[in-house]
Amino acid sequence: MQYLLLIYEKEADWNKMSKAEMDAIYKEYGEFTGSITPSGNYKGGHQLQPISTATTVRVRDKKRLVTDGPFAETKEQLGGFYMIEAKDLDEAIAIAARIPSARTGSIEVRPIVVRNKA
Amino acid sequence: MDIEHIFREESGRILATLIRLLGSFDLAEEVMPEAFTTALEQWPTQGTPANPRAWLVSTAQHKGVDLLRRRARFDSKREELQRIADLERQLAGTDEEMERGRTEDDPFGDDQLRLIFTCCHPALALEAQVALTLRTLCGLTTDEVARSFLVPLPTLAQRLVRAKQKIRDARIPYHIPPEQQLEERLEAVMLVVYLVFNEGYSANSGDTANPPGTVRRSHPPGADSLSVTSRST
Repeated sequence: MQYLLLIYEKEADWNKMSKAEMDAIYKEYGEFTGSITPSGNYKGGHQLQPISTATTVRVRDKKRLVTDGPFAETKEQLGGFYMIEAKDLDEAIAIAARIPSARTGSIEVRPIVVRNKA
Repeated sequence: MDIEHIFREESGRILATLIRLLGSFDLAEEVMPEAFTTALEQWPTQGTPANPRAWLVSTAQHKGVDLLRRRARFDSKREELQRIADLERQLAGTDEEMERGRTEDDPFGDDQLRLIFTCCHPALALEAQVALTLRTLCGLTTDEVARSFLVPLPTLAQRLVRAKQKIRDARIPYHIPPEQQLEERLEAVMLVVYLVFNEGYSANSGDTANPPGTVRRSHPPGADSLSVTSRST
């Protein structure tokens, strides 16, 4: 079963980090990713560019509406994600808890819908 | 032991085992009464089996697989067929367990405990955890549970449906969590114990309320573990 782990962080805090702090957290992320790869849990994942680079697209009445942002009224922003394979929710939660950002932000665990190919 | 007695004493444990084996609350609730019906037909003439509970579990499980197979024929979903194949493999195992059950005391011992921890999983809202446990493990009707929460029946019914869907779709496992995770589930488990005690003490619906059996808490020194069982000690 696959789960998407969505990493929410306060982007403002992230921006305030020093180079040394940044290097430490990237190193930690690298080690985390390295640790879930040989076990077969890692299916993919990326860090996202900051929310200032985001664009929102809607189509209403067949008309395309493109706007800047999502408007970041929420305290935490989506900063990255992992796609993982886990045997059940408990394993997914255990992996989510090991993501470095779980200590400062929050991780949303979402099961992936499985559809049968006809 | 007559069937009525077995129903009163064992139906909670049988349901817990069936939920684990069939992986579905709804299917388990559907087939358990059917197994008791079959028992009512067969036992008076063929005699009560040596291990009535194992017999009922196995019979209900067969009925569950039959039911899934009939349904799958209509919508011929590949996923469903795969599930049936898995269940049939598992069924062979249960029949073996049942054979062993003749000599062993308790082949499916901890299913109720396992189910309490599934129902009290922190990924479910606390009120849903408690409602589901009362409904599934303590044999309270949806109406009784709604009354103990002071919410309207449709609200409670919807809460139960949503919780069962999440258990299935997010795959919340059926197992007793390791000790370090017990704590985050204790709050709900304790609330359940409290509400069960309430219901047993001042039954909402007179004689029909299920006597909840023995609720026991054990606190071995140095281990914050909780054991809840309806087994009489």
